[in-house]
Amino acid sequence: MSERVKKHLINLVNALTNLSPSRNILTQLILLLPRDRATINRSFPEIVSPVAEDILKSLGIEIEDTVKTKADSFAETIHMHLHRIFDLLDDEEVRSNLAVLADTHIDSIPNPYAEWAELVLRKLSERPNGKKIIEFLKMVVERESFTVKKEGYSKKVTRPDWQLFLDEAKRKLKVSPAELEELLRLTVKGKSEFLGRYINKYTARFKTEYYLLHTEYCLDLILSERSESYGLSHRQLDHRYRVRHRDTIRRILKVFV
Amino acid sequence: MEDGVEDFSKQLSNLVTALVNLAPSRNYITQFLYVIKMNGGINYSVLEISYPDIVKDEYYRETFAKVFGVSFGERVSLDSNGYGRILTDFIERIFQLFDDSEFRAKVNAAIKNDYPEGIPNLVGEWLDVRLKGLSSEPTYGKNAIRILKEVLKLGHAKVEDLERTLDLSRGEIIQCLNLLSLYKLVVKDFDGSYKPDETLKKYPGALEGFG
Repeated sequence: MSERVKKHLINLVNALTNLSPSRNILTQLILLLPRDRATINRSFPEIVSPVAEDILKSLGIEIEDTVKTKADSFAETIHMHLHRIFDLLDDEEVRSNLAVLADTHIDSIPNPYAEWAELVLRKLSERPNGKKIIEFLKMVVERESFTVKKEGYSKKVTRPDWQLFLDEAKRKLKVSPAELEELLRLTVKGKSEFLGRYINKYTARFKTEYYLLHTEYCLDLILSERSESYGLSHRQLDHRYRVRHRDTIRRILKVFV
Repeated sequence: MEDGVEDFSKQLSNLVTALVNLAPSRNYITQFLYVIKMNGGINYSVLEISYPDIVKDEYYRETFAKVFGVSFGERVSLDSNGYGRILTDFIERIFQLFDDSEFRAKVNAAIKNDYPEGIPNLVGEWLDVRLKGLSSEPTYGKNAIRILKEVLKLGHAKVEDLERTLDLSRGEIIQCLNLLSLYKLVVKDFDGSYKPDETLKKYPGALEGFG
């Protein structure tokens, strides 16, 4: 690769990395919205000024009792794009290819997701139920996927195991249903972002929809995959959770032994 | 300045700099991807001339394709779910943001020390880069600029109109219009006439100093 390509590739990776919420409080704020105003003012004292609020409004952040991004605003766009940067640069193959193109070592290509996840896990581990959160995460990333729901299949087909997993977690971690709900909210479940749809163009009787589950701290661990197929007399539904960023989370979790 | 405000300004400056550095006028890689996007795909031969250091070596080209989701063939395009497409969509939103003079003025007031010449208008910069690229084209560049000025003056023009007003052959005019279309400086209308790109209509002064 020419020196020009190498230089501009590194500049591009640096620009994407500098947008990362681990390196910039404005993108961190945007990633964590919506939140109530009191929490934001406490967590981000830097933005409590008329000048700052005016600029945040220009970016598309609505500051009322709840602070949130406006639909179709730049803030919403950047919120979505941060998740795409996480995915891109947490992909070992992408980072390896970037290193080849930039003629550098893979370790010098930053991983914004790993940086962010480390910050989040540290914060979560400091909570009163921190140990349980960490243990729960370890249990989640041991698995590649979970079957949430299966309908229309014969009984011989693998049964849903998500609920079984939750029951096991409840027992092992000795948590109440309410505590388990909190663990889920903090680590794996939340608002879903529609990522795409696959439709079999020949029959139109099979479709799969993909959603990314955003949790309170955007760990982006679960890809929700819903497949439906229709026949003349049957309908089959297969709802799966695929666990993402497993290697990165497992590596970070080693620190929390 | 209070500490909080100072911290905010520093963070804002870092954010603005990261966004500015993604602009196709400032980054060769995003420029390559954005040129493919704005043309909805482009002939390989064009890229071979304009971006040889990205496309000529097969190994690097394939590696680049994997990272950014670029399909290389006779025609080069961005994959619908690839990062190249996602990034160029994001750049389009950055353009919209930085095209807002009110936004630039507010940000400029907050971080004027970091941007003494003002927050750049990335849309204007990109227009300037395209005009410079066009004018430096050895065969048709000079006449393409003449045609562009004429199209801008008339609002829209057909090949015949340009033949009448400019002392150029039909073939030459068509070649220039193809070049102008490639740079997205003119858009062909449904009736076969050409009109200037919206950005050029907004910033006609960008053409001053060319030709």
